[in-house]
Amino acid sequence: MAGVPGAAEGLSRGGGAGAARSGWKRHIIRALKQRDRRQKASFQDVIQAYNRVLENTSFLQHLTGKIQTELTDPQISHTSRSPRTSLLVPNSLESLHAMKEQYQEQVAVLQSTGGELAYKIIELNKSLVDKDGKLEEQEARVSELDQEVRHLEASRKCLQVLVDLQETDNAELKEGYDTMLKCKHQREEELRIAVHKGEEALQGIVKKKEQEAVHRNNKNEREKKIRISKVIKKATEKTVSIDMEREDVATLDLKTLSLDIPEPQDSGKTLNRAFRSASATMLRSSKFVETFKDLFDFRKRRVNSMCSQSENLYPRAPVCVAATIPSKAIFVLEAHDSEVNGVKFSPSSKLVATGGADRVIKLWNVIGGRLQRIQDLEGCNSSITSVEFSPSGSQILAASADKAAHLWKLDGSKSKDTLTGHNDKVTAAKFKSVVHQAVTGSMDRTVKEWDLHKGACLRSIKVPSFCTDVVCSDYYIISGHHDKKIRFWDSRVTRCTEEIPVQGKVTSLNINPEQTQLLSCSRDDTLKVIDLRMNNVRQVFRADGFKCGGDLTRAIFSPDGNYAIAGSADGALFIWNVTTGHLEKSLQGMHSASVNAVAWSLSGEYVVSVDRRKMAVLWSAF
Amino acid sequence: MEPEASSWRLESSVELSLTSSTASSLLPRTRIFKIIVIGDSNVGKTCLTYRFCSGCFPGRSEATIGVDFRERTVDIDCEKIKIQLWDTAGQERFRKSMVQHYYRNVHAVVFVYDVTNLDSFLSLPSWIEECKQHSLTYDVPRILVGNKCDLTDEIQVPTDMAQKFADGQNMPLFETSAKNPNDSDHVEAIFLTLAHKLKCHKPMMLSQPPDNNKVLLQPEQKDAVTCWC
Repeated sequence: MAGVPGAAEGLSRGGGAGAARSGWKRHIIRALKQRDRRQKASFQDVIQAYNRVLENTSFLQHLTGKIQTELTDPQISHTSRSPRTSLLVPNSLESLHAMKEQYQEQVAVLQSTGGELAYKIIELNKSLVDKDGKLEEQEARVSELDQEVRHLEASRKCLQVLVDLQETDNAELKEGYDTMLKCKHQREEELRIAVHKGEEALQGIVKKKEQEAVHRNNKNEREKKIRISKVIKKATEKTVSIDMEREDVATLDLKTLSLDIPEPQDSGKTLNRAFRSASATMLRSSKFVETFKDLFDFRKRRVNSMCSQSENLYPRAPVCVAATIPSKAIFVLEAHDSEVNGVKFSPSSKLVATGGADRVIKLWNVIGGRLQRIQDLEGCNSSITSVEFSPSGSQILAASADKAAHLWKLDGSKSKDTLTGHNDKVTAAKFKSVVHQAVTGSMDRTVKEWDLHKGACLRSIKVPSFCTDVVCSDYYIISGHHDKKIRFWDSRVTRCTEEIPVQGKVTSLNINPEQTQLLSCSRDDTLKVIDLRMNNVRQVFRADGFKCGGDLTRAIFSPDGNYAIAGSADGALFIWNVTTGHLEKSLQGMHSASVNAVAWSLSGEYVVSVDRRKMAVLWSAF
Repeated sequence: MEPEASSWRLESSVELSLTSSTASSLLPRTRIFKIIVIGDSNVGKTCLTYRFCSGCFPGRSEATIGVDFRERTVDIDCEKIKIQLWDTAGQERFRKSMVQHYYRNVHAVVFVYDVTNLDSFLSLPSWIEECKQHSLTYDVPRILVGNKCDLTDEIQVPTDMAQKFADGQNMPLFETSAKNPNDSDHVEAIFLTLAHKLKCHKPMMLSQPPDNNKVLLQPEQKDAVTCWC
């Protein structure tokens, strides 16, 4: 190579050495240059490739050397990297081996973990696939459910429509129900009214029937009367003579005769006959024989009262052997709404009747030292002034300020009769000893006798003064008056048979069980005992503090007739001994107002007192 | 009151001189006997009275309110007698206010019970008690009638028991049926017997025999208590 460039250079310089020479030189140069250019071009590639090969060879040589050093002597590389270590190399060869083992172990461990991991990966892949499957499944289900939801939604809409329909239906039904309910109420109301009307109609019918019954009864009676009067008329046209053959004929005849004659006229008709048959009757009723006069009276009385046999007298009331004097109040109560005017025990001593200004009679049971209210008797139109039990205990007679006396039957029928005819307050009404007869006394200055069976007045006695009280014995009626007189009336005689004057207005009369003594109370603050056999005043009772409280203050005998009891204006009770005439006892402190009336039970055990301030007090000895 | 009484006295003195005998031909009016029919509700008082007065059995009957009146005139011993039956209400609420009217001037009482209903028989004493309370002074004839005896297989009140009770109360006993036509004569017979009894025990009036003017006063054979007014 060096030759070629030198040759080229020598050519170029030889051409320069001579001007004639330059022209050939230049040509030679050019020719040289061209030949250079041609030759050079053909070798250029080779040179270049050769250069490249050289280059590669050196690089590879270098590389090889390097690798060889590394491979043959790793320590050198080690040393070259750290000279100090390289110094220790001979000592740490074992450790290097250990390290190598260690690393190899580590590599093994790593490889195993790598295997595990690979396994895990596989596993995970598998589960992934599973999950994918599941996921797909779930998605499928979700879509399914979605579908279902849509379905349900649709059906819900349908049902909603149905519900709406139903609701409108229901509303309609409710409306219907409401109207029906209203209808029902209306009907019920109508029914109630109808029932009420029915009840009223029934009452009306019953009332009509009652009137009809009364009418029939009256008609029957009328016809009977007419018939009888016709028969009598007919009979009077004939004459007849009587042949008295036997002694007892007349009596029996009398009985026969009294059969068919209407009641009110009986007494009159039978009167004459009775005299004629007297001897027969008299001789047989020997148990009543005392004196001829008495016998006569007895018979006459019986005939007058229309009784054929003794069955028409009340049975004898039980007799009290000994009354015990009350000593203390065992029961106090407000008996009425107003002033209490009358009080009586029933003959059985089990009942007490009280009557007051509140127009009611109250019946009380005496049980265990208490008064137990059992019944009210209503029907009076004004204040009650006195009450009285019939001797049989089955009836109550009350006098009232409504100008009438009222009679109740206690048999549960609650029937009531009214005795009207007085023109002023009736102050007293008493049963007679003959069944179905009573006597009343009134402020209209009359005393009347009544037939209770017919409710008719039998006899009216005119008196000069107000009558305040009446009592009946078997033989006569005794009345007490404002003009300070006690009058005796016989049923046979129209005028007064006896008058006993006292010192004050008479307020009450009471007769003892033997009918031998009469107790009167008067406004001169005294009680008087009148002997009925002698018709004179036998004893006068007075006491310090005893003051007669009113015009109708009632004083009574005890049932055995041994004591007299009366209430005072200050509310105290005074008891006198009838035999000795001394004050036996005074009971104070229970009443705060004037005591109007007192009753003593027939058993002798209890006393009841009533006052102006509505109170009733039950007294007893124990 | 007074003048009337005196006029009656005059008449009575005349009347007293006459002796007992009937004079139906002279009478312008028929006598009326008031008979009340008493007993529990539904024992057949209405049917019984209806049967007697109209001769047939009422198809259906309602509860009697208060009282119904039925009358029939019968001929007894050539005397016309009007039997006035008071068919009373058995139910307490229909009768309570009327009881006193039932018993006023009553001539006879018929107690009725139902032979197929023991209770109606057992309540007879209370009816009798009521009767006693209301007719204290009069001893009226009373009879006991057991109705519905056609229902033979339902009888609850045996005859001997009823008879015993009737004897104890001193009443005649009749068992009958207002419904069964075979017994209709029986119903009639019962009331006619009663009417007969009333007529005989209740001499109508005292009158004079037409043939002579002399009267012999004779004692009556009956007991003194048989006063049927």
